[in-house]
Amino acid sequence: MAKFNDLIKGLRETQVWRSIFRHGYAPTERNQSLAISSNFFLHLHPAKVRRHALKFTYTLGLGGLSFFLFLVLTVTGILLMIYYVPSTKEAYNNMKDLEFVISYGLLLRNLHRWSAHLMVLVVFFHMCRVFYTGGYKRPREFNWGIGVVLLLLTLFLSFTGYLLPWDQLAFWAITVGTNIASYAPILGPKIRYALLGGNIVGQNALMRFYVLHVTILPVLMGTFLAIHFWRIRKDGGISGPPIEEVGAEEEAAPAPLKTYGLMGLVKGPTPMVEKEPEDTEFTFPNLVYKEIKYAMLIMIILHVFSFFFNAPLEELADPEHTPNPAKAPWYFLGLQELVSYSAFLGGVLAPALAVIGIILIPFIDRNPSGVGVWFSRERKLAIILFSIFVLTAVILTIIGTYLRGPNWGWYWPWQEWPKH
Amino acid sequence: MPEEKGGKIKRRDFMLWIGWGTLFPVFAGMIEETVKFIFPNVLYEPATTFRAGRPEDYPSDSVTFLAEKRVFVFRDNGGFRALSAVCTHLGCTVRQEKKGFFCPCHGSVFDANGFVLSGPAPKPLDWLSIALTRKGELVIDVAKFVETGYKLKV
Repeated sequence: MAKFNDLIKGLRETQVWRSIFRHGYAPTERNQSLAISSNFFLHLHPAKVRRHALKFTYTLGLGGLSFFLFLVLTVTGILLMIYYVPSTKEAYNNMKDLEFVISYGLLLRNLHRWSAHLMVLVVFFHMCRVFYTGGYKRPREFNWGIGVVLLLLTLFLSFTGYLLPWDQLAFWAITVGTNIASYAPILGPKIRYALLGGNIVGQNALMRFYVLHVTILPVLMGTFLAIHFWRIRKDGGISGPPIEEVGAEEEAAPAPLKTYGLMGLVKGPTPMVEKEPEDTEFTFPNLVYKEIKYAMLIMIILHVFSFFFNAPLEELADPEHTPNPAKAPWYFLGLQELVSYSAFLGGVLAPALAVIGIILIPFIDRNPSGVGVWFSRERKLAIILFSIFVLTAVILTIIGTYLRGPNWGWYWPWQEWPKH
Repeated sequence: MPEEKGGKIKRRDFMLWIGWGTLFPVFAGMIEETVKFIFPNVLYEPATTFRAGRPEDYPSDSVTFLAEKRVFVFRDNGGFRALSAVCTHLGCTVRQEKKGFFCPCHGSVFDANGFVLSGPAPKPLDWLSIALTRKGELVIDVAKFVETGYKLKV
Protein backbone atom coordinates (compact mmCIF):
# COMPACT_ATOMS: atom_id res chain seq x y z
CA MET A 1 0.00 0.00 0.00
CA ALA A 2 2.79 2.34 0.92
CA LYS A 3 4.40 1.57 -2.40
CA PHE A 4 1.20 2.37 -4.22
CA ASN A 5 0.92 5.71 -2.45
CA ASP A 6 4.51 6.46 -3.34
CA LEU A 7 3.74 5.63 -6.94
CA ILE A 8 0.80 8.01 -6.99
CA LYS A 9 2.87 10.68 -5.32
CA GLY A 10 5.62 10.18 -7.86
CA LEU A 11 3.12 10.35 -10.67
CA ARG A 12 1.81 13.66 -9.41
CA GLU A 13 5.29 15.09 -9.57
CA THR A 14 5.96 14.12 -13.15
CA GLN A 15 6.13 16.84 -15.75
CA VAL A 16 3.22 15.32 -17.67
CA TRP A 17 0.88 15.39 -14.67
CA ARG A 18 1.91 18.91 -13.78
CA SER A 19 1.34 20.08 -17.31
CA ILE A 20 -2.30 18.93 -17.06
CA PHE A 21 -3.17 19.77 -13.44
CA ARG A 22 -1.62 22.98 -12.31
CA HIS A 23 -2.62 22.84 -8.68
CA GLY A 24 -2.47 20.38 -5.82
CA TYR A 25 -5.28 18.36 -4.36
CA ALA A 26 -4.76 19.35 -0.74
CA PRO A 27 -7.99 20.86 0.61
CA THR A 28 -6.79 24.39 0.83
CA GLU A 29 -9.00 27.28 -0.18
CA ARG A 30 -6.58 28.12 -2.93
CA ASN A 31 -6.84 24.65 -4.43
CA GLN A 32 -10.61 24.66 -4.12
CA SER A 33 -10.72 27.87 -6.09
CA LEU A 34 -8.23 26.66 -8.66
CA ALA A 35 -10.18 23.43 -9.14
CA ILE A 36 -12.89 25.59 -10.67
CA SER A 37 -11.06 28.46 -12.27
CA SER A 38 -8.28 26.42 -13.88
CA ASN A 39 -10.60 23.74 -15.24
CA PHE A 40 -12.01 24.29 -18.70
CA PHE A 41 -15.25 22.44 -17.98
CA LEU A 42 -15.82 23.67 -14.46
CA HIS A 43 -14.95 27.32 -15.00
CA LEU A 44 -18.53 27.72 -16.13
CA HIS A 45 -19.12 27.97 -12.39
CA PRO A 46 -17.97 30.79 -10.13
CA ALA A 47 -15.29 29.78 -7.62
CA LYS A 48 -17.69 30.49 -4.79
CA VAL A 49 -21.47 30.40 -4.73
CA ARG A 50 -24.03 31.79 -2.36
CA ARG A 51 -25.17 29.26 0.18
CA HIS A 52 -28.74 30.02 -0.84
CA ALA A 53 -28.05 28.91 -4.40
CA LEU A 54 -26.84 25.52 -3.19
CA LYS A 55 -30.12 24.60 -1.53
CA PHE A 56 -31.77 21.77 -3.41
CA THR A 57 -35.20 22.95 -2.31
CA TYR A 58 -34.59 26.27 -4.04
CA THR A 59 -33.60 25.13 -7.53
CA LEU A 60 -34.58 21.44 -7.45
CA GLY A 61 -31.55 21.12 -9.72
CA LEU A 62 -33.81 21.52 -12.74
CA GLY A 63 -31.56 23.71 -14.88
CA GLY A 64 -28.54 21.50 -14.36
CA LEU A 65 -30.66 18.43 -14.99
CA SER A 66 -31.92 19.88 -18.30
CA PHE A 67 -28.33 20.41 -19.41
CA PHE A 68 -27.32 16.93 -18.28
CA LEU A 69 -30.18 15.42 -20.27
CA PHE A 70 -29.04 17.42 -23.31
CA LEU A 71 -25.60 15.84 -22.93
CA VAL A 72 -27.12 12.35 -22.60
CA LEU A 73 -29.20 13.02 -25.72
CA THR A 74 -26.16 14.24 -27.64
CA VAL A 75 -24.11 11.16 -26.81
CA THR A 76 -26.89 8.61 -27.40
CA GLY A 77 -27.99 10.51 -30.50
CA ILE A 78 -24.54 10.45 -32.06
CA LEU A 79 -24.30 6.71 -31.40
CA LEU A 80 -27.69 6.10 -33.00
CA MET A 81 -26.53 8.01 -36.08
CA ILE A 82 -24.05 5.21 -36.76
CA TYR A 83 -26.86 2.85 -37.75
CA TYR A 84 -29.65 5.20 -38.78
CA VAL A 85 -30.09 5.98 -42.48
CA PRO A 86 -32.52 8.82 -43.23
CA SER A 87 -34.27 7.03 -46.07
CA THR A 88 -37.96 6.26 -46.30
CA LYS A 89 -37.02 2.75 -47.38
CA GLU A 90 -34.50 2.01 -44.66
CA ALA A 91 -35.30 4.12 -41.60
CA TYR A 92 -38.00 1.81 -40.25
CA ASN A 93 -35.84 -1.27 -40.77
CA ASN A 94 -33.03 0.48 -38.90
CA MET A 95 -35.40 0.81 -35.95
CA LYS A 96 -36.10 -2.92 -36.09
CA ASP A 97 -32.38 -3.65 -36.32
CA LEU A 98 -31.74 -1.47 -33.30
CA GLU A 99 -34.42 -3.38 -31.46
CA PHE A 100 -33.52 -6.94 -32.39
CA VAL A 101 -30.06 -7.16 -33.89
CA ILE A 102 -27.66 -4.51 -32.70
CA SER A 103 -26.03 -4.99 -29.28
CA TYR A 104 -27.61 -2.56 -26.84
CA GLY A 105 -29.36 -0.86 -29.77
CA LEU A 106 -32.69 -1.05 -28.04
CA LEU A 107 -31.24 0.31 -24.80
CA LEU A 108 -29.66 3.25 -26.60
CA ARG A 109 -32.87 4.07 -28.45
CA ASN A 110 -34.87 3.79 -25.24
CA LEU A 111 -32.39 5.99 -23.39
CA HIS A 112 -32.55 8.56 -26.18
CA ARG A 113 -36.35 8.64 -26.32
CA TRP A 114 -36.98 8.65 -22.58
CA SER A 115 -34.31 11.29 -21.95
CA ALA A 116 -36.03 13.42 -24.57
CA HIS A 117 -39.42 13.02 -22.88
CA LEU A 118 -37.88 13.77 -19.50
CA MET A 119 -36.09 16.81 -20.91
CA VAL A 120 -39.36 18.33 -22.13
CA LEU A 121 -40.82 17.83 -18.67
CA VAL A 122 -37.75 19.11 -16.81
CA VAL A 123 -37.29 22.18 -19.01
CA PHE A 124 -40.94 23.08 -18.44
CA PHE A 125 -40.58 22.55 -14.68
CA HIS A 126 -37.43 24.67 -14.75
CA MET A 127 -39.40 27.50 -16.31
CA CYS A 128 -42.06 27.13 -13.61
CA ARG A 129 -39.40 27.10 -10.88
CA VAL A 130 -37.83 30.29 -12.19
CA PHE A 131 -41.23 31.92 -12.39
CA TYR A 132 -42.43 30.93 -8.92
CA THR A 133 -39.18 32.11 -7.31
CA GLY A 134 -39.21 35.39 -9.25
CA GLY A 135 -35.93 34.53 -10.92
CA TYR A 136 -36.79 36.35 -14.15
CA LYS A 137 -36.81 39.79 -12.55
CA ARG A 138 -34.27 42.50 -13.17
CA PRO A 139 -31.44 42.01 -14.12
CA ARG A 140 -32.38 38.56 -15.49
CA GLU A 141 -35.09 39.57 -18.00
CA PHE A 142 -32.98 38.76 -21.03
CA ASN A 143 -31.92 35.35 -19.76
CA TRP A 144 -35.58 34.48 -19.16
CA GLY A 145 -36.14 35.13 -22.87
CA ILE A 146 -33.18 32.94 -23.80
CA GLY A 147 -34.74 30.26 -21.59
CA VAL A 148 -37.99 30.45 -23.53
CA VAL A 149 -36.02 30.00 -26.76
CA LEU A 150 -34.37 26.93 -25.22
CA LEU A 151 -37.81 25.52 -24.34
CA LEU A 152 -38.92 26.00 -27.95
CA LEU A 153 -35.74 24.37 -29.26
CA THR A 154 -36.36 21.43 -26.93
CA LEU A 155 -39.84 21.03 -28.40
CA PHE A 156 -38.62 21.36 -32.01
CA LEU A 157 -35.89 18.81 -31.33
CA SER A 158 -38.47 16.42 -29.89
CA PHE A 159 -40.76 16.94 -32.88
CA THR A 160 -38.04 16.46 -35.50
CA GLY A 161 -36.79 13.47 -33.51
CA TYR A 162 -39.90 11.37 -33.46
CA LEU A 163 -40.33 11.84 -37.22
CA LEU A 164 -37.17 9.92 -38.00
CA PRO A 165 -38.28 6.27 -37.40
CA TRP A 166 -40.70 6.71 -40.34
CA ASP A 167 -43.52 4.91 -38.60
CA GLN A 168 -47.18 5.92 -38.63
CA LEU A 169 -46.60 8.49 -35.88
CA ALA A 170 -43.77 10.02 -37.91
CA PHE A 171 -45.64 10.22 -41.19
CA TRP A 172 -48.82 11.74 -39.82
CA ALA A 173 -46.95 14.08 -37.50
CA ILE A 174 -45.06 15.52 -40.47
CA THR A 175 -48.31 15.75 -42.40
CA VAL A 176 -50.13 17.57 -39.61
CA GLY A 177 -47.13 19.64 -38.49
CA THR A 178 -46.29 21.00 -41.92
CA ASN A 179 -49.97 21.69 -42.60
CA ILE A 180 -50.15 23.72 -39.39
CA ALA A 181 -47.17 25.71 -40.70
CA SER A 182 -49.09 26.41 -43.90
CA TYR A 183 -51.71 28.27 -41.83
CA ALA A 184 -49.09 30.87 -40.86
CA PRO A 185 -49.95 34.26 -42.35
CA ILE A 186 -48.61 35.17 -45.81
CA LEU A 187 -45.62 32.81 -45.93
CA GLY A 188 -47.50 29.72 -44.69
CA PRO A 189 -47.64 27.62 -47.88
CA LYS A 190 -44.03 28.54 -48.72
CA ILE A 191 -42.85 27.41 -45.28
CA ARG A 192 -44.63 24.11 -45.83
CA TYR A 193 -43.03 23.69 -49.26
CA ALA A 194 -39.58 24.44 -47.85
CA LEU A 195 -40.03 22.08 -44.87
CA LEU A 196 -41.23 19.22 -47.06
CA GLY A 197 -38.89 19.99 -49.93
CA GLY A 198 -41.88 19.60 -52.22
CA ASN A 199 -45.59 18.98 -51.99
CA ILE A 200 -45.74 15.50 -50.53
CA VAL A 201 -44.43 13.88 -47.37
CA GLY A 202 -41.59 11.76 -48.70
CA GLN A 203 -37.85 11.36 -48.95
CA ASN A 204 -37.11 15.10 -49.20
CA ALA A 205 -39.12 15.77 -46.06
CA LEU A 206 -37.37 13.02 -44.08
CA MET A 207 -33.95 14.31 -45.13
CA ARG A 208 -34.80 17.86 -44.14
CA PHE A 209 -36.11 16.91 -40.72
CA TYR A 210 -33.06 14.71 -40.22
CA VAL A 211 -30.70 17.60 -40.95
CA LEU A 212 -32.72 19.82 -38.62
CA HIS A 213 -32.60 17.21 -35.87
CA VAL A 214 -28.93 16.26 -35.98
CA THR A 215 -27.24 19.52 -36.95
CA ILE A 216 -29.18 22.76 -37.20
CA LEU A 217 -31.24 22.50 -34.01
CA PRO A 218 -28.48 21.01 -31.79
CA VAL A 219 -26.05 23.72 -32.91
CA LEU A 220 -28.64 26.39 -32.12
CA MET A 221 -29.31 24.69 -28.80
CA GLY A 222 -25.61 24.63 -27.91
CA THR A 223 -25.25 28.29 -28.81
CA PHE A 224 -28.23 29.41 -26.78
CA LEU A 225 -27.18 27.20 -23.86
CA ALA A 226 -23.80 28.91 -23.85
CA ILE A 227 -25.47 32.33 -23.81
CA HIS A 228 -27.85 31.16 -21.07
CA PHE A 229 -25.01 30.00 -18.79
CA TRP A 230 -22.86 33.02 -19.58
CA ARG A 231 -25.70 35.34 -18.67
CA ILE A 232 -26.30 33.56 -15.35
CA ARG A 233 -22.74 34.54 -14.38
CA LYS A 234 -23.00 38.03 -15.81
CA ASP A 235 -26.32 38.66 -14.04
CA GLY A 236 -24.74 37.88 -10.70
CA GLY A 237 -25.24 34.14 -10.30
CA ILE A 238 -28.58 32.44 -9.95
CA SER A 239 -31.36 34.43 -8.37
CA GLY A 240 -31.73 34.72 -4.64
CA PRO A 241 -33.05 37.06 -1.97
CA PRO A 242 -31.54 40.54 -2.08
CA ILE A 243 -28.09 40.67 -0.54
CA GLU A 244 -28.04 42.46 2.82
CA GLU A 245 -25.51 45.20 2.57
CA VAL A 246 -22.78 45.58 5.12
CA GLY A 247 -23.49 48.68 7.18
CA ALA A 248 -26.80 49.33 5.54
CA GLU A 249 -27.39 52.94 6.58
CA GLU A 250 -24.06 54.56 5.94
CA GLU A 251 -23.16 55.60 2.45
CA ALA A 252 -21.03 52.76 1.17
CA ALA A 253 -18.08 53.59 -1.02
CA PRO A 254 -19.13 53.27 -4.66
CA ALA A 255 -18.76 49.67 -5.72
CA PRO A 256 -15.92 49.19 -8.16
CA LEU A 257 -17.09 48.63 -11.70
CA LYS A 258 -14.41 46.05 -12.14
CA THR A 259 -13.28 43.52 -9.61
CA TYR A 260 -10.07 41.66 -10.10
CA GLY A 261 -9.80 38.29 -8.53
CA LEU A 262 -10.47 34.63 -9.01
CA MET A 263 -13.38 35.33 -11.25
CA GLY A 264 -11.19 37.31 -13.54
CA LEU A 265 -12.46 40.55 -14.90
CA VAL A 266 -16.12 40.93 -14.07
CA LYS A 267 -18.33 43.89 -14.79
CA GLY A 268 -21.39 44.80 -12.80
CA PRO A 269 -22.87 42.95 -9.86
CA THR A 270 -21.20 39.79 -8.68
CA PRO A 271 -22.32 37.53 -5.86
CA MET A 272 -19.27 38.65 -3.93
CA VAL A 273 -19.91 42.36 -3.77
CA GLU A 274 -20.57 43.97 -0.38
CA LYS A 275 -21.38 40.77 1.39
CA GLU A 276 -20.35 38.75 4.37
CA PRO A 277 -17.90 36.03 3.40
CA GLU A 278 -19.95 33.52 5.42
CA ASP A 279 -22.74 33.70 2.85
CA THR A 280 -20.76 31.83 0.26
CA GLU A 281 -19.24 28.42 -0.07
CA PHE A 282 -16.65 27.01 -2.39
CA THR A 283 -18.16 25.56 -5.55
CA PHE A 284 -15.64 22.76 -5.37
CA PRO A 285 -16.50 20.38 -3.88
CA ASN A 286 -19.86 21.58 -2.49
CA LEU A 287 -21.71 22.15 -5.77
CA VAL A 288 -19.65 19.99 -8.12
CA TYR A 289 -20.09 16.84 -6.04
CA LYS A 290 -23.81 17.47 -5.76
CA GLU A 291 -24.02 17.77 -9.53
CA ILE A 292 -22.12 14.54 -10.08
CA LYS A 293 -24.27 12.63 -7.58
CA TYR A 294 -27.47 14.00 -9.13
CA ALA A 295 -26.31 13.13 -12.65
CA MET A 296 -25.44 9.59 -11.58
CA LEU A 297 -28.82 9.14 -9.92
CA ILE A 298 -30.67 10.30 -13.05
CA MET A 299 -28.49 8.07 -15.24
CA ILE A 300 -29.43 5.06 -13.10
CA ILE A 301 -33.13 5.95 -13.20
CA LEU A 302 -32.99 6.36 -17.00
CA HIS A 303 -31.32 2.98 -17.39
CA VAL A 304 -33.80 1.20 -15.13
CA PHE A 305 -36.70 2.85 -16.94
CA SER A 306 -35.22 2.02 -20.37
CA PHE A 307 -34.75 -1.56 -19.24
CA PHE A 308 -38.43 -2.01 -18.45
CA PHE A 309 -40.11 0.23 -21.02
CA ASN A 310 -39.44 0.31 -24.73
CA ALA A 311 -39.58 3.49 -26.78
CA PRO A 312 -42.78 3.57 -28.81
CA LEU A 313 -42.64 2.44 -32.43
CA GLU A 314 -45.81 2.30 -34.46
CA GLU A 315 -46.41 0.44 -37.71
CA LEU A 316 -44.52 1.35 -40.85
CA ALA A 317 -45.62 4.68 -42.32
CA ASP A 318 -48.72 4.16 -44.45
CA PRO A 319 -49.85 7.21 -46.42
CA GLU A 320 -53.11 5.45 -47.26
CA HIS A 321 -54.44 5.09 -43.74
CA THR A 322 -54.37 7.51 -40.87
CA PRO A 323 -54.46 5.72 -37.50
CA ASN A 324 -57.66 6.36 -35.57
CA PRO A 325 -57.18 8.22 -33.35
CA ALA A 326 -53.87 9.69 -34.57
CA LYS A 327 -52.28 11.04 -31.43
CA ALA A 328 -49.07 13.01 -30.98
CA PRO A 329 -46.74 12.28 -28.03
CA TRP A 330 -48.14 13.57 -24.73
CA TYR A 331 -46.30 16.91 -24.78
CA PHE A 332 -48.09 17.96 -27.98
CA LEU A 333 -51.55 16.66 -27.08
CA GLY A 334 -52.53 20.00 -25.56
CA LEU A 335 -51.65 21.61 -28.87
CA GLN A 336 -53.51 18.90 -30.77
CA GLU A 337 -56.57 19.57 -28.60
CA LEU A 338 -56.32 23.30 -29.44
CA VAL A 339 -55.88 22.56 -33.14
CA SER A 340 -59.03 20.41 -33.06
CA TYR A 341 -60.98 23.64 -32.56
CA SER A 342 -59.21 25.68 -35.24
CA ALA A 343 -55.98 25.17 -37.13
CA PHE A 344 -55.11 28.86 -37.28
CA LEU A 345 -56.29 29.94 -33.82
CA GLY A 346 -55.07 26.82 -32.04
CA GLY A 347 -52.05 25.97 -34.11
CA VAL A 348 -50.60 29.37 -34.96
CA LEU A 349 -52.14 32.28 -33.08
CA ALA A 350 -52.53 30.80 -29.58
CA PRO A 351 -49.01 29.29 -29.42
CA ALA A 352 -47.47 32.45 -30.89
CA LEU A 353 -49.26 34.67 -28.36
CA ALA A 354 -48.32 32.31 -25.53
CA VAL A 355 -44.64 32.42 -26.47
CA ILE A 356 -44.59 36.21 -26.90
CA GLY A 357 -46.51 36.62 -23.63
CA ILE A 358 -44.08 34.44 -21.68
CA ILE A 359 -41.04 36.24 -23.11
CA LEU A 360 -42.58 39.59 -22.11
CA ILE A 361 -43.39 38.55 -18.52
CA PRO A 362 -40.32 40.29 -16.97
CA PHE A 363 -41.23 43.52 -18.74
CA ILE A 364 -44.89 43.39 -17.76
CA ASP A 365 -44.35 42.33 -14.16
CA ARG A 366 -42.14 45.19 -12.96
CA ASN A 367 -42.70 44.43 -9.28
CA PRO A 368 -39.15 43.94 -7.97
CA SER A 369 -40.05 42.11 -4.74
CA GLY A 370 -40.32 38.46 -3.93
CA VAL A 371 -37.12 37.28 -5.59
CA GLY A 372 -35.45 34.20 -4.15
CA VAL A 373 -38.40 32.63 -2.36
CA TRP A 374 -41.03 30.24 -3.59
CA PHE A 375 -44.54 31.67 -3.98
CA SER A 376 -43.82 35.04 -2.41
CA ARG A 377 -46.96 36.66 -0.99
CA GLU A 378 -45.86 39.95 -2.51
CA ARG A 379 -46.51 38.55 -6.00
CA LYS A 380 -50.01 37.16 -5.64
CA LEU A 381 -51.42 38.43 -8.94
CA ALA A 382 -48.45 37.32 -11.04
CA ILE A 383 -48.48 33.88 -9.46
CA ILE A 384 -52.21 33.44 -10.02
CA LEU A 385 -51.98 34.51 -13.68
CA PHE A 386 -49.05 32.23 -14.46
CA SER A 387 -50.72 29.35 -12.63
CA ILE A 388 -53.79 29.78 -14.82
CA PHE A 389 -51.57 29.43 -17.87
CA VAL A 390 -49.83 26.33 -16.49
CA LEU A 391 -53.15 24.81 -15.45
CA THR A 392 -54.63 25.44 -18.90
CA ALA A 393 -51.69 23.67 -20.53
CA VAL A 394 -52.00 20.74 -18.11
CA ILE A 395 -55.78 20.41 -18.56
CA LEU A 396 -55.53 20.54 -22.37
CA THR A 397 -52.83 17.86 -22.25
CA ILE A 398 -54.93 15.65 -19.97
CA ILE A 399 -57.95 16.04 -22.25
CA GLY A 400 -55.89 15.16 -25.32
CA THR A 401 -54.25 12.20 -23.60
CA TYR A 402 -57.07 10.56 -21.68
CA LEU A 403 -60.38 11.91 -22.93
CA ARG A 404 -60.03 11.75 -26.70
CA GLY A 405 -60.76 8.61 -28.68
CA PRO A 406 -61.52 7.59 -32.27
CA ASN A 407 -62.30 10.52 -34.59
CA TRP A 408 -61.05 12.75 -31.78
CA GLY A 409 -64.37 12.16 -30.03
CA TRP A 410 -64.83 12.66 -26.29
CA TYR A 411 -64.57 9.43 -24.33
CA TRP A 412 -64.50 9.17 -20.55
CA PRO A 413 -61.86 6.77 -19.23
CA TRP A 414 -64.57 4.24 -18.30
CA GLN A 415 -66.18 4.37 -21.75
CA GLU A 416 -65.11 1.73 -24.20
CA TRP A 417 -63.87 2.84 -27.61
CA PRO A 418 -65.99 1.50 -30.51
CA LYS A 419 -64.38 -1.36 -32.36
CA HIS A 420 -63.72 -1.17 -36.06
CA MET B 1 -16.19 67.85 -35.24
CA PRO B 2 -14.06 69.53 -37.86
CA GLU B 3 -15.95 71.91 -40.08
CA GLU B 4 -17.25 70.81 -43.45
CA LYS B 5 -15.05 71.99 -46.28
CA GLY B 6 -17.25 73.72 -48.79
CA GLY B 7 -20.01 71.09 -48.61
CA LYS B 8 -17.74 68.41 -50.01
CA ILE B 9 -18.12 64.86 -48.78
CA LYS B 10 -15.36 64.04 -46.39
CA ARG B 11 -13.04 61.19 -47.24
CA ARG B 12 -13.89 59.37 -44.00
CA ASP B 13 -17.66 59.54 -44.63
CA PHE B 14 -17.13 58.41 -48.19
CA MET B 15 -15.21 55.34 -47.04
CA LEU B 16 -17.86 54.66 -44.42
CA TRP B 17 -20.56 54.70 -47.08
CA ILE B 18 -18.58 52.30 -49.22
CA GLY B 19 -18.19 50.02 -46.22
CA TRP B 20 -21.85 49.89 -45.26
CA GLY B 21 -22.90 49.95 -48.89
CA THR B 22 -20.90 46.77 -49.48
CA LEU B 23 -21.74 45.00 -46.26
CA PHE B 24 -25.52 45.14 -46.58
CA PRO B 25 -25.78 43.88 -50.17
CA VAL B 26 -23.38 41.06 -49.32
CA PHE B 27 -25.55 40.00 -46.38
CA ALA B 28 -28.70 40.35 -48.44
CA GLY B 29 -27.12 38.26 -51.16
CA MET B 30 -26.13 35.53 -48.75
CA ILE B 31 -29.62 35.40 -47.31
CA GLU B 32 -31.12 35.22 -50.78
CA GLU B 33 -28.75 32.42 -51.79
CA THR B 34 -29.60 30.40 -48.71
CA VAL B 35 -33.35 30.85 -49.00
CA LYS B 36 -33.42 30.06 -52.72
CA PHE B 37 -31.19 27.05 -52.17
CA ILE B 38 -33.74 25.59 -49.74
CA PHE B 39 -36.54 25.64 -52.32
CA PRO B 40 -36.10 22.76 -54.76
CA ASN B 41 -36.51 23.60 -58.45
CA VAL B 42 -37.19 20.08 -59.60
CA LEU B 43 -39.29 17.51 -57.81
CA TYR B 44 -39.25 13.78 -58.33
CA GLU B 45 -42.72 13.27 -56.98
CA PRO B 46 -45.29 10.93 -58.52
CA ALA B 47 -47.59 12.53 -61.11
CA THR B 48 -50.77 14.01 -59.71
CA THR B 49 -52.85 12.56 -62.57
CA PHE B 50 -53.53 8.87 -62.73
CA ARG B 51 -55.67 6.42 -64.66
CA ALA B 52 -58.44 4.99 -62.56
CA GLY B 53 -59.64 2.16 -64.77
CA ARG B 54 -62.68 1.96 -67.04
CA PRO B 55 -66.12 3.18 -66.11
CA GLU B 56 -67.44 -0.40 -66.29
CA ASP B 57 -65.13 -1.30 -63.38
CA TYR B 58 -67.35 0.70 -61.06
CA PRO B 59 -70.78 -0.73 -60.21
CA SER B 60 -73.64 1.76 -60.35
CA ASP B 61 -74.54 3.47 -57.09
CA SER B 62 -71.17 2.62 -55.59
CA VAL B 63 -68.38 4.33 -53.71
CA THR B 64 -64.84 3.12 -54.28
CA PHE B 65 -61.88 4.20 -52.17
CA LEU B 66 -58.63 4.33 -54.13
CA ALA B 67 -56.40 4.14 -51.08
CA GLU B 68 -53.10 4.69 -52.79
CA LYS B 69 -54.27 8.00 -54.25
CA ARG B 70 -56.52 8.95 -51.36
CA VAL B 71 -59.59 9.46 -53.61
CA PHE B 72 -63.21 8.37 -53.30
CA VAL B 73 -64.86 7.61 -56.67
CA PHE B 74 -68.66 7.81 -56.67
CA ARG B 75 -70.84 6.41 -59.38
CA ASP B 76 -74.55 7.10 -59.42
CA ASN B 77 -77.25 7.95 -61.95
CA GLY B 78 -75.76 11.37 -62.56
CA GLY B 79 -72.37 9.96 -63.48
CA PHE B 80 -68.92 9.91 -61.89
CA ARG B 81 -67.45 12.21 -59.31
CA ALA B 82 -64.12 12.10 -57.48
CA LEU B 83 -63.82 13.34 -53.93
CA SER B 84 -60.48 13.89 -52.24
CA ALA B 85 -59.99 11.94 -49.00
CA VAL B 86 -57.50 14.51 -47.76
CA CYS B 87 -58.98 16.43 -44.84
CA THR B 88 -58.95 20.15 -45.60
CA HIS B 89 -57.98 20.87 -42.00
CA LEU B 90 -54.52 19.34 -41.62
CA GLY B 91 -54.26 16.67 -44.28
CA CYS B 92 -55.15 13.40 -42.58
CA THR B 93 -57.02 10.76 -44.57
CA VAL B 94 -60.74 10.83 -43.82
CA ARG B 95 -62.65 7.58 -43.52
CA GLN B 96 -66.13 6.90 -44.78
CA GLU B 97 -68.65 5.97 -42.14
CA LYS B 98 -72.40 5.65 -42.72
CA LYS B 99 -73.58 9.13 -43.72
CA GLY B 100 -70.35 10.89 -44.40
CA PHE B 101 -66.65 11.24 -43.76
CA PHE B 102 -64.80 11.42 -40.46
CA CYS B 103 -61.28 12.69 -39.87
CA PRO B 104 -59.40 10.67 -37.23
CA CYS B 105 -56.92 13.42 -36.35
CA HIS B 106 -59.04 16.31 -35.11
CA GLY B 107 -62.62 15.16 -35.50
CA SER B 108 -63.88 17.00 -38.60
CA VAL B 109 -67.10 15.54 -40.01
CA PHE B 110 -68.18 15.93 -43.65
CA ASP B 111 -71.45 14.94 -45.34
CA ALA B 112 -71.70 12.72 -48.41
CA ASN B 113 -70.93 15.68 -50.69
CA GLY B 114 -67.94 16.70 -48.66
CA PHE B 115 -69.56 19.68 -46.93
CA VAL B 116 -68.38 20.33 -43.38
CA LEU B 117 -70.92 19.23 -40.76
CA SER B 118 -68.79 19.85 -37.70
CA GLY B 119 -65.21 20.08 -36.51
CA PRO B 120 -62.31 22.36 -37.37
CA ALA B 121 -62.17 21.81 -41.16
CA PRO B 122 -62.28 25.27 -42.79
CA LYS B 123 -63.73 24.15 -46.16
CA PRO B 124 -65.43 21.19 -47.83
CA LEU B 125 -63.51 18.22 -49.15
CA ASP B 126 -62.12 18.95 -52.61
CA TRP B 127 -63.90 17.67 -55.69
CA LEU B 128 -61.25 16.46 -58.08
CA SER B 129 -61.01 16.74 -61.83
CA ILE B 130 -62.23 13.52 -63.43
CA ALA B 131 -62.31 12.92 -67.18
CA LEU B 132 -62.36 10.25 -69.85
CA THR B 133 -59.47 9.56 -72.20
CA ARG B 134 -60.10 8.84 -75.88
CA LYS B 135 -59.60 5.17 -75.10
CA GLY B 136 -62.40 5.38 -72.56
CA GLU B 137 -60.36 5.35 -69.35
CA LEU B 138 -61.07 7.50 -66.33
CA VAL B 139 -58.37 10.03 -65.47
CA ILE B 140 -58.27 11.78 -62.12
CA ASP B 141 -56.02 14.68 -61.11
CA VAL B 142 -55.53 14.97 -57.35
CA ALA B 143 -54.07 18.46 -57.68
CA LYS B 144 -56.82 19.91 -59.87
CA PHE B 145 -59.99 20.90 -58.11
CA VAL B 146 -63.37 21.36 -59.78
CA GLU B 147 -66.48 23.05 -58.48
CA THR B 148 -68.62 21.17 -55.99
CA GLY B 149 -71.33 19.20 -57.78
CA TYR B 150 -69.35 18.50 -60.94
CA LYS B 151 -70.11 15.09 -62.36
CA LEU B 152 -68.67 13.28 -65.33
CA LYS B 153 -71.45 11.86 -67.45
CA VAL B 154 -70.60 8.62 -69.16
